Amino acid sequence: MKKLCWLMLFVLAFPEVYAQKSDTTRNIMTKGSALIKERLVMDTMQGSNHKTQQDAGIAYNTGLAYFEQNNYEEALKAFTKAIEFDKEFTNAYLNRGITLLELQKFRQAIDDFDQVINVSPLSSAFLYRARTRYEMGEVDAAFEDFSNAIDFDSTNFHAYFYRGGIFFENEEFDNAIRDFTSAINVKPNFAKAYNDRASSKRMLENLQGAMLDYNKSAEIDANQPYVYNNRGSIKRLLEDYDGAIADYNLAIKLKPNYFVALNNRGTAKMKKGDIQGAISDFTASIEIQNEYNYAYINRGNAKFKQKDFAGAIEDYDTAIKIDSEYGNAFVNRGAAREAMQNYEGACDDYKRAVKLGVEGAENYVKEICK
Amino acid sequence: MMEITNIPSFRNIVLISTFFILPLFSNAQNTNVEFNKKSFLKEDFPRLKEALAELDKGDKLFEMDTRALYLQALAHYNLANDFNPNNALLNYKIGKCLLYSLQKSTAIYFLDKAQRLNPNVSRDIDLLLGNAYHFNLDIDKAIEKYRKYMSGLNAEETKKFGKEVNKKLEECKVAKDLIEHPVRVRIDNLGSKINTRFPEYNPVINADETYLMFTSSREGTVDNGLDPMDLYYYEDIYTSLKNVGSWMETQHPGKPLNTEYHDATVWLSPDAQKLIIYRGDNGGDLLESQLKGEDWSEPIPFGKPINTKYHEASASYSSDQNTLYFVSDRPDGYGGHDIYSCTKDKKGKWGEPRNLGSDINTEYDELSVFMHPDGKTLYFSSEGHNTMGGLDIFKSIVENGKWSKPENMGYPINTTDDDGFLTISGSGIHAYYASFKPDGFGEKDIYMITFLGEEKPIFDANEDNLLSSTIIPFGVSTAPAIEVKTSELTILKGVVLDDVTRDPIEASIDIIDNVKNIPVTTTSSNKASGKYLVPLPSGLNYGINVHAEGYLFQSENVDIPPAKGYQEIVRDIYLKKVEIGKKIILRNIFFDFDRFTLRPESQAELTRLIDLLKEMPKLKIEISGHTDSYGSAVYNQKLSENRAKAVVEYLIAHGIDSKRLTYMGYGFTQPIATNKTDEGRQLNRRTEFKIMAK
Repeated sequence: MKKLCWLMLFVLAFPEVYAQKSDTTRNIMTKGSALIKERLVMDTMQGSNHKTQQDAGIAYNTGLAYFEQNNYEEALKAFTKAIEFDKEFTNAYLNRGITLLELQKFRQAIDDFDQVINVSPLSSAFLYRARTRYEMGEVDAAFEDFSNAIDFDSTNFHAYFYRGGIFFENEEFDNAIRDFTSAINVKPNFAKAYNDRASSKRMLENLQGAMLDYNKSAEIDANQPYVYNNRGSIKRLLEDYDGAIADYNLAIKLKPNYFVALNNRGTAKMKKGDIQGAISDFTASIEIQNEYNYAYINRGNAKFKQKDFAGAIEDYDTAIKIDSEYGNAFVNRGAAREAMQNYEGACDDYKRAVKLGVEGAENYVKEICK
Repeated sequence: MMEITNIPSFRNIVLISTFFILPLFSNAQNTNVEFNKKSFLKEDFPRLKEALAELDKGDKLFEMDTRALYLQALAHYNLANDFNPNNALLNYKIGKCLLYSLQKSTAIYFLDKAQRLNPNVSRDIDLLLGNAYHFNLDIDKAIEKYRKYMSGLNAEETKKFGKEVNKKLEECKVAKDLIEHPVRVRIDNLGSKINTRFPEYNPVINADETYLMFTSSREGTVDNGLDPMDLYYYEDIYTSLKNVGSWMETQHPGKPLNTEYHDATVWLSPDAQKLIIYRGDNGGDLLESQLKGEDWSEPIPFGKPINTKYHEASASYSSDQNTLYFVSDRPDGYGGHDIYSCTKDKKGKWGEPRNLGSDINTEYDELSVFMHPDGKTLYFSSEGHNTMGGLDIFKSIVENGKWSKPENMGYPINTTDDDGFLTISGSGIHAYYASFKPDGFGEKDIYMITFLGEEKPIFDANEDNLLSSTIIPFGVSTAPAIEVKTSELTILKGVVLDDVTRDPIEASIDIIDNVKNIPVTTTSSNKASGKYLVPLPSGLNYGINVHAEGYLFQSENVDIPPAKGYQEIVRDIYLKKVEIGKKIILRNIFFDFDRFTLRPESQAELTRLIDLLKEMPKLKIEISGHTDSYGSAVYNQKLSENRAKAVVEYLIAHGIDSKRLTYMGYGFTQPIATNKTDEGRQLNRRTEFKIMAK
């Protein structure tokens, strides 16, 4: 589905590319992929040396057909063939680059996007190179390319959307909101951009603003489980635990194995005092993802509330076994050990929490360690 | 007709008079078995006779109405009870005796049984049951019994006893609240090196918790005598040192601290050089002793106006040791024992004691006072204020002469029994006190309380899929921040040693606030170990002047930045003998930057130098100035010379013969540290004097 979206994006982003090859492409496309494949096979078998634009176009369209079918290896061959026929076929480079991106052959993809940009610096080429660079972990370079994409086309809402994501990651939430808003201005029914803007507002503690954006996102597209989960969490933060549980219910209904939402619903139930219900949710979350340390921690917390400190410690132990670098788990286990008057054990846990950078844990060490 | 005598005036026991007591054989239940021949078979008569004899002995002691004799009566009553456990009156008496013992909660069984055998066994049975449940922290039942007792009082009785019973009910209310919200502490027994099957109590400790003194009524005290009042051994003082985190074997310091009287610890200075004790002769007085080397000096009574013919049993010095907080039951107070303060004048004479007033003192007893080394937090025990029962420990902070409302230290530090004699460590993290606990070594033991601070937050673990694009994985919620309050105290400590032999020196150490140019405190190092320790408020610049006979004085400078908690600074001092050629750095002489004008903060240091020259009239010295390596050699030489000259001129102006003084400027030619760091350069910028003749 995601790959199809990419292709759709490409089609939307490059109307000018299709215009250049309008005659041959349109004709071949109407004949369907069976004919295209047949022709390509024939050419190959006969060892044809027809390096004409027409042959390049056929190979190019064959590549598109394979791409539609998510057959990226064959698409790659076809786009490569098209380039062999026509070494100046810019769109073939671009689409081969996108195909390579799907195949996670990032360096080669970059070479193709470079080729396009050197010949004709298109906004979309910058967009895809940015995506590729992001996948390669080159976030600064990706950011630069998203910005280039916007410079070349101020209506490139995808570029705004993804650059907003980088701003978010860098905790520049005001800038993120600005980019998500630009994306929405270009594409008013951009449900994902509403979600992401909502999340940015949440990070700025504008919970009501976030709520409105999550509402809008859900209104545009009612089939996004994570939007309900996120909205549920806003309600949880606003201490509207019934509303939160209702939203988590929607998220879980859309995606029954959504262990994150199950864990969150458990927390909301805890806040309502429904400890048993919470334990059921945490357990369900663990059954789906048995390496989910958060659900073990929260189930430990529920047992802690029930004063079942030994049971809580057992869950904290598991959480720590899964992720021994998560400091809060040590604080929680330390508190449970403290409650059981195992002060030496609590001291060890608080010291570990200090090493893991838990704020305030130094004071716990001072207080509990002899 | 048998009657029960008055219940004595004693903590936790409400006064009852004889007219409450009813004849036992009225309304007797058929399950009540009287001590007479009708109730037993003939073959039991000899044992009946023995039991009656025990009853008689017990009654004689019981009627004496003292705690010790109640406990002695209990032994006889138990023998009688072995023969006939179903006598209401005997069960009542055993229950009442047990309320004076350490096992107070066991009184419930006997009092309850007495009431079941005969609901009218005594008018005060509900009151005593209320007391027993109160001690046992069964507060709802205590309230029920107190109310039942109250409802049975007539108007006259209500007028007489109502106030006391209402206080009990108020204590129950406080107890419920405090038990519901316990303070977060861990309580550790100090272990078998300190505690025995005998009572240990009144712990006092030095600032860094390495030296403990306490009181014990145990075998082996001086003369090994028993106090006839309670049949406990006479109290003596004991000590212990901490080594690598563990308390070492207890030592009995012997005379002169311990005598054939009651000798008890009262207060120990933070540096463990000065001790206040209580001695049981002369009605109970306070005495003071100094540690000379390894031996405590003969304790000297404080005398008037602190000691009187009344009872003075607890005291604590202020941090500068110029004010003494003490407890006395002298007649001009608010009732019972009150806390007083008394301040020394400049000549060291005590002024008139001042009652701390109604913010601290009540119509009930205030006892066991302790002033924290921070100089403003007073701990004391009281039967008044909002006690949860018996004596509770409270704390109050003085700001600008006004005491804050005493704050109950909370449960489980306080219980419904008597709690007191709390000593807080210099860091404020630990406290030491005595308590009877079933899992102890027997009788009262000494425990260390660790204040655990606020309850730790339990972190929820949540995440959301905040970004719909796949480039953002997760967001995790953040945790809230915690305060502890710790004390803002700096401990300055170290050793004073001979510069050459490294032998310990008993030296006098003066601490001066350099900014205000006033002395802060004076202490001395221990003769045997050379150790010293001074608690100091943070945020000031201090001059330290160390002087001992036969040695040149040594000056140090300590700048203590404002601290957010407890900290320790170690500064060892090496004193030099007065010998030709010896050099001493004058660390508390200050000049303005790039100038040779003496700053006012230098005055104390210069005065010491003048005193030295006056004490040793043959002494000739050279004053020398030194700089760091910043600037040219010529400039620095001139600057250092001018500064040395300024010191010499000051000395001459204050009566020192110019023939005894020379000065030199050495610029940066004689560094004592690297010039590559700020710290090194600061050490290099200095004024020295050198002995030229003596």
